[in-house]
Amino acid sequence: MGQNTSYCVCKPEATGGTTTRPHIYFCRSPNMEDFTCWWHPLSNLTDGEEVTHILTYSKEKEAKLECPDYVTGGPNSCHFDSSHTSIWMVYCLTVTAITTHRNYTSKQHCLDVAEIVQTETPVNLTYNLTDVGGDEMGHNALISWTYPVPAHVQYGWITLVYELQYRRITEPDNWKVKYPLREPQVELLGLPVDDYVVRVRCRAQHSKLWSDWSATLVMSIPPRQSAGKLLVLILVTGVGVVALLVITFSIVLQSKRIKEYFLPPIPKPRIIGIDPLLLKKGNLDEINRHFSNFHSYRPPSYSEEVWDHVSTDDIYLTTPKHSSDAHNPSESERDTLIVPCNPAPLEVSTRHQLTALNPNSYMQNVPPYCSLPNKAFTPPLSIPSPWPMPEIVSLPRTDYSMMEHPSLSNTIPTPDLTFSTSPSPQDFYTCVQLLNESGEVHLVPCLPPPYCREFPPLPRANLDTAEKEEKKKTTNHQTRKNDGGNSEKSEAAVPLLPVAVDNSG
Amino acid sequence: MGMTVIQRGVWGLLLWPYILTVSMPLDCKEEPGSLTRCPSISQEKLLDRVIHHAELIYRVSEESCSLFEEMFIPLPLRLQSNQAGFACITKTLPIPSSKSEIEQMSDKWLLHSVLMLVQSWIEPLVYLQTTLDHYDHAPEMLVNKTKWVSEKLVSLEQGVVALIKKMLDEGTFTTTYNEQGLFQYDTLPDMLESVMRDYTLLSCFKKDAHKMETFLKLLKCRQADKYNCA
Repeated sequence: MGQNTSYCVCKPEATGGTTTRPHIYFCRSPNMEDFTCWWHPLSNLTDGEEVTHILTYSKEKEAKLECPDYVTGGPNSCHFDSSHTSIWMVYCLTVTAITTHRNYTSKQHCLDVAEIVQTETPVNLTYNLTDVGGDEMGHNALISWTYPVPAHVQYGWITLVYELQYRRITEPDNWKVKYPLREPQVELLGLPVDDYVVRVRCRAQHSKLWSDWSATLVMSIPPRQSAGKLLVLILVTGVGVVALLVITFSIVLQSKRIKEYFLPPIPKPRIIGIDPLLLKKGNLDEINRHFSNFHSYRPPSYSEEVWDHVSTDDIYLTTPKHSSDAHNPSESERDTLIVPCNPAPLEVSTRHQLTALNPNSYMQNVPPYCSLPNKAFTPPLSIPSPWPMPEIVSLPRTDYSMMEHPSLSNTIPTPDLTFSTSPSPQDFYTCVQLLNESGEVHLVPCLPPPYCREFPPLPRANLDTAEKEEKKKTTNHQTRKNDGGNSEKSEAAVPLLPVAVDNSG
Repeated sequence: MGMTVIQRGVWGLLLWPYILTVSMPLDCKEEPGSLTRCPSISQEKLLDRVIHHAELIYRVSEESCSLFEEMFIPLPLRLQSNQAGFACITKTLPIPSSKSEIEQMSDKWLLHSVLMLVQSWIEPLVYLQTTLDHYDHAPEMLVNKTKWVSEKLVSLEQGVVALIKKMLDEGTFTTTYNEQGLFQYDTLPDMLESVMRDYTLLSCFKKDAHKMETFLKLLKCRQADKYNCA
């Protein structure tokens, strides 16, 4: 009994009850190399009666033999060691109870050793919780156990199959089964938080006898560690908030660009040509380029102007021709030198280029500036007097009053040509319209006072050709100006003629 | 009127095998710890168990041989699979080795060959066990394995005998096939080193164990399908 406790532990409880004769109720082999059989002894004994039991067996057709070992398996047992065990033959056993009166023989019990293999019960059932804080289902548990006698299963002599069952403590009958298992361990996944009861048993693969259930193991799945989760939550929210802030700031800083990207600005209707911004900025080159498309536009030069001194002699040279040729007053009128003022600075691109032309243009252009037949214009009398005081001569037909220098009869009334070297704001600029032989000068006040300037003398021959050229050039210009009408004043004041025209239009 | 006597007699004659089998079950039923009369183990079960033995013996002998080789045999002296044939003690046995010859062997001859092999190896393995104990640092695993193999070889012998009895209906064989013993110390080839001798022994046994396994598996295959076994 004490020698081989494994058999004693595994021995099943004997079914009670009276037996008229012994009865072999259970035989098992733990490893297919030895086996033990237990019997129920005779029970209806009279008092004081002694009884002995003898087990006899025979292997198939061999002679009967007696049990080699009555002790190892405990009382009423017979143990066959490896030398007496053969898996190649069937054992047939009988137990005989010998009393003083008679012998009671049990029923024959035959067995095949390989078929009665009942392996040992697994031991050391333990569990390990893995995957703390995994999915919402809960933890995973790795349950492991060991087979108590490894020698049985070494070299593959016996192949074991395990079965594991587990249930919640609160549900006594709802066992969950894990079968078949080849390894002495298993991982249970997704266990909800609760307490569980676990047990395991094993079986030899070729046998049908299961081992006894192992000692139950109480496994408790704890609730998820909040600390870990909280930390993770804090970390994630922190990172998320920082990221959000960064994104917001970048959006705010780049809001304009983003807005332009998503909602591109609708372009305003633009007229091909002038950009008002250009004019504001005063980019002259751009403006000039635009304006050069216009006919007879010459960009103004804001460069320093060199004033040519117009001497009276020069002018004198030219005018007698006029006057000598013409004898008729009408002719003389026609041939009078009309000395134009410098009407507008627009007309000067470069002084030298247009020296031949400018005077003509000036001459031609004078009439619109300087000849205002419909306007009443009283020239101021405050004239600086480098010249001798002119006399005021008034034309009979018009309201103009002219100034005359009686002393200078044959000479050109240079005093009338009030071309001062340098224009001063107090100067009264007059334009000569007519120049009679008698020295009468028809003066017309120049509208743009600041723009009357001297001009160099020109040869007569050039004048004609130049006149014709300029006539063509300036016709459009003049028409435009005439079309401007009242805007002449403003035109002269502002040297942006086309713009003025355009704006009026 | 019912059945006449003659009819009953006829019925009895027709049914007598059934009656006989019911009263005397020849094979064990599939019940654990059964109380039914089970005079002998079936042939299939026997054959399965014998094959199981042979498989295990071969596997463990292979492991033992490799262990021994690693421990005691330097690389250049290691035998290849085709070299050790000449030095084996069982070369004198009339057992075919080529595949074609084996396929032509009858069932009877297969079983007898296996028996011959098993019986001829029992003693050398016992001897090997003793010599291994004399080694200075033989690993315990090697010793245990060799011991286990020799034990199982004895069991295998019993199994093959039972199988022969069952399959061939021959009388009981005494395990006296090699009473004289092929394994005689005198007739061993000249090996200066006992280590080499032991190594050769293990290698030869490994080969023969594989042969045994092959024979038995061929036998099993023939039980199921006679003409389709290789």
